[in-house]
Amino acid sequence: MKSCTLSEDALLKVLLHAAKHPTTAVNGVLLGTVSGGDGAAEVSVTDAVPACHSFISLAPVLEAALSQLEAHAKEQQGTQSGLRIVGYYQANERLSDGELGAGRRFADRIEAAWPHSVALLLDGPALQAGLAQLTAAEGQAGGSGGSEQPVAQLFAKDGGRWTKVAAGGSGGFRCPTSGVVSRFAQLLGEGRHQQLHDFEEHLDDIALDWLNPTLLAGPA
Amino acid sequence: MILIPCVAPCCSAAVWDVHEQVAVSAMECGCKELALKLVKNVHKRFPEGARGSRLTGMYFELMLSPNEARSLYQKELDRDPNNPLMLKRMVGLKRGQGDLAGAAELLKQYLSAQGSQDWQAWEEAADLYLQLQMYQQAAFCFEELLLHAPADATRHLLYADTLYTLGGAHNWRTARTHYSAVIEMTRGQNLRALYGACACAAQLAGTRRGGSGGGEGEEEEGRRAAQAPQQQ
Repeated sequence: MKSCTLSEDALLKVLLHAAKHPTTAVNGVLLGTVSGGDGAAEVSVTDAVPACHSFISLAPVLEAALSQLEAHAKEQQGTQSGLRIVGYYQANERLSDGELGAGRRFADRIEAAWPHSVALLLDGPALQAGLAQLTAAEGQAGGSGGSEQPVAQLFAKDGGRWTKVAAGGSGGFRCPTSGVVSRFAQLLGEGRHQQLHDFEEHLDDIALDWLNPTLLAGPA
Repeated sequence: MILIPCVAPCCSAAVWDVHEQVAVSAMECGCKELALKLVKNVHKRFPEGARGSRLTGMYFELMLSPNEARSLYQKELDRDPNNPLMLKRMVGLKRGQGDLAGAAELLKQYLSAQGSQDWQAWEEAADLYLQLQMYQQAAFCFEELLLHAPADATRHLLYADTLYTLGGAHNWRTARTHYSAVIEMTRGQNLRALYGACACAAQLAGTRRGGSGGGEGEEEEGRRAAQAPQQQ
């Protein structure tokens, strides 16, 4: 993989999913497009679809979500050409945990079925630092946010192993940073995270739209 | 969160139960000041004792002082090595520190020695084993839970999901049995069970689509259930 660009909307959905279930790990699937072939693939992540919020190391719910998403992507070819599954995301139970853990197995299976897929992990300490910085900046009237770190880590498959891809500068991971944490804090304050529904909730109440198409629409 | 802080330490023991419950809730919400106030009150009233130490230890954990919490729990365990409250707090402490294997080992010792009827502990053990990807051990825990409550659809689902994730024809067949049990219990209303049954049928047939024998009927039901209206 040459580079991966993550959209702000996809990142915010990951953050909101994690915020809705703060005491458990959550996972989901990334949608987007891939251009270029082996070695020069450019992945663009445009959407994140939340899947599980309890017992994320169990396969059936994620597998059902993947097959539904495959069908959804096919249906969208008219409006979003080239849309496909491009990765897996996870936010761990403990903020300090920076490992994929059980998610590695799912990321492997997704990458095998959809080549050049990536794995995204929420960076707990970076998010904590970003929120603390925001609170401090708000305390000083007119203060700026200071330097903003990416709040997610990207892993790409490199010869059978998942290796971290550096963000920014010469790194291959383009992660939105400017204003992301403040937008997230605003959405959180509005309670927008409660309006997000994942596939597991959809299985309990089929009327809930787990694709969350209008979640980020409107003022924030 | 209606607590009557102005009620003087009175003869009613229920007031202290409420103190304990609200303190734990405050800690779960991260309300540090309220938690401190309640924990201090409890400690003043009960300076000795495992229940009071448990609350104080939990407060230390909330304030990210795991060493203070550990020494408090260990002090109580030195007095009574089989105290279930303290053993479970130690498990919780290890889990919070990221030592899942240590937590699982400690919990296993507790369950073998004295906790075989402690269903919450079995659920916690299953959760820990799943996080450690020790699916066989997690399945064992779910089996114990099912023995206790065989009509609990959620436990059947978790057991079936664990077996499905473990993989192998024997496990998929057993998982399918449990998914079918949930379908029967819920009169076909449980979507997770329907999906699970389809997935098992597909795995057993060795293909992504189609099944054989009884699997076909289940797949048809799954398809019908999955065709529920999606919002635009």
